[in-house]
Amino acid sequence: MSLRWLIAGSFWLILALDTVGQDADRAFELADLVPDADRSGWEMAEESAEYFPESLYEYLNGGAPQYLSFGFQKLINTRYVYQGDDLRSVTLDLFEMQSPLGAYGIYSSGRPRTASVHDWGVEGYRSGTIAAAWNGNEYVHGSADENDPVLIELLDRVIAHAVGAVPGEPQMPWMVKVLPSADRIPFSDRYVGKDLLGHSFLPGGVLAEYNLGEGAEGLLFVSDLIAPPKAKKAFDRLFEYESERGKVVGQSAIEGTRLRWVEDPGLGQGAFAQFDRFVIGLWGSPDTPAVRTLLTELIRNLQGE
Amino acid sequence: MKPGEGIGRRRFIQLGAVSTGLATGRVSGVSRNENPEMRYRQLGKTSLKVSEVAFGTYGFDNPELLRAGLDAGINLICTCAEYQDGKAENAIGRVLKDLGGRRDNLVVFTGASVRKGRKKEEILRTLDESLKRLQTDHVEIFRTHNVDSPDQLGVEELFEAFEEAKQAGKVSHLGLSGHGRKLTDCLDTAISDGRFEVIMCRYDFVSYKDRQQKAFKLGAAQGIGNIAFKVTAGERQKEIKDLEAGGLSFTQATVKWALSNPDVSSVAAGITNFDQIKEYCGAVGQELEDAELRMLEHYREVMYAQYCRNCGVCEPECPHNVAVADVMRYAMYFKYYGREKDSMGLYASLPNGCDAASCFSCEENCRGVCPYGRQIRAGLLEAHEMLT
Repeated sequence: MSLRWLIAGSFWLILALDTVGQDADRAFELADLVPDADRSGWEMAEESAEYFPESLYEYLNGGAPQYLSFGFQKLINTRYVYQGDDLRSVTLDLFEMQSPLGAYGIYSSGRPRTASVHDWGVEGYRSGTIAAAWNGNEYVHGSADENDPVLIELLDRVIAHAVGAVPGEPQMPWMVKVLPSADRIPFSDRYVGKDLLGHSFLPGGVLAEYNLGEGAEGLLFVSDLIAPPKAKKAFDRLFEYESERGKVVGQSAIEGTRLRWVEDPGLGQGAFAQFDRFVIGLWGSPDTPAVRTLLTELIRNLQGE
Repeated sequence: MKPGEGIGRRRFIQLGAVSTGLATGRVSGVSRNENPEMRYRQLGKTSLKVSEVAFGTYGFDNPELLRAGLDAGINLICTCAEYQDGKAENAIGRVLKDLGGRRDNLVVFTGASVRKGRKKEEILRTLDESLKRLQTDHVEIFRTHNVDSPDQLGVEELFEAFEEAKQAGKVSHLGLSGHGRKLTDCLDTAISDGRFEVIMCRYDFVSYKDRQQKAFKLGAAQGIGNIAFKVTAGERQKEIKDLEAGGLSFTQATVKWALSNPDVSSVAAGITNFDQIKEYCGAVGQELEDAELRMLEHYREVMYAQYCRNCGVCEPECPHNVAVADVMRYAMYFKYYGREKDSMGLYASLPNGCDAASCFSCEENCRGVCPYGRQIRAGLLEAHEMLT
């Protein structure tokens, strides 16, 4: 085989491999994930109901704006009833989001720290009568009417089935991967779609809590502003806010990045900085070696992005 | 400004009046109010006076936001045990614990989903967990949350738990919140029941407004306090180009519209950033201007008049038993979701007589029935042509 044909063949192979994931994403409908009531005694209470961005408000009480900020696309709501008893039911909600980050965002916003972990999709949990999981653009949430083993068994099964039917390898979004893993408090990581920590100029980002030693905990955050000038502008506005409502106490540098140390009126002591297209920071602690280690690792992780 | 002052002179505007009065309305002269002064209204027959704007806490996680809201005069905090799995209540608690005597001026309104089968002890435990997160020994109002069916209001264990908690000084008033398709039925049931003192529900300038206004009025006559939420009717104003041209604020207009109803004590606004506090509170004490009414009407036309929300409210009016919600849904599948074949199959499988064929010769009993102002017959005829 000539070099020319080898190169051409490689090109088409790469193109084919690159589109495998996309095709897989498109190869199913959300409705395909709805499990049948395939065990004796169980039946669907009624036909599944579908909701879209226009009608989400019909279903979610107060939470619709947050779901929309995570890129909500579609919801299918199904209820399974056991032996015709309307008080013994399991409700399953399948959410299609615009991106894996949005699916992770919804998932992580409601995940209790005390939940038990399950090997469902990228991640799953059950806490009492509530269970949830996510994979790809899909977020799956279920609830049982009561803590009855029969109901919980079905709850676990429909969640595992639904998220297991999502094509593609389970993978955490890169914004979560850049968070240092050492000393991170389990299940404390989360993504918010807008108004990070109450600031309209921070478009959203990931947060996680860390043990900083001697009982201290810190809240680490990363907000992606897409471009360095936008990050600079957001940083300036955060500095302006802290100067007005909080107290600026000093500055230092880590990995060539200048940190501003402040006392935020709501979040306590902490530091923040602009790094490339990101605004990053940590709340809940003064300048300590543990904080510096954490921020250094975060900046290094971000250098590859 | 004294609590409740100025309410009497407010115009209470029906959207019907909006449509007919638009042509003669003033065009400009409305701007955002940047220096709001909070006002307060009586909450039904409770002893509580609440700010016209309430702090809604879904998605909120920075205690300083709430402090800023309190500084702006907000005294009603609406939350729920289930918001962010208790994180909202935790953030509120961090503020409440430092307030000292100022806590007495606040109205904390929390709740939880209470469905049939819940035991009294479970409900009481849920309340205790909320109090712990909120770092307070009592809340002014506890509600059954997210009620979407009248039968969810008949859970006797809720009333028993409430009475026990009230005796213990943990809660003063009982309420409910809801927003779903059967909302107005829920309101009628709650008012008839007589044990609910506070209702918090969706109320906007687009949907079900006539029925809800009647329910509010009836409830208010019985001493029920009404709190409105979701007043922005979907909050999709950014999708309409130039909707807020000329300095108009869609958000403020929706709040003004809701507050123009004297039977509404407060508007609960979901607050997740500092800018929103000024935005929402800026609507307090302001008249709804003609230009704002035109903006709301334009929003309604763009966002609501063009598609069916599948609520089914119109179906009982149809003498031919057309499955309106299903037909509209199948048409949506066809038009917007690329499911032409599937949707035609679904349409063909409707029981005899339930499709829209009968609409061609019908006298249009459904005219004016849609709570969102949609032309039902025209939509059904279009669907039938499309799906056959």
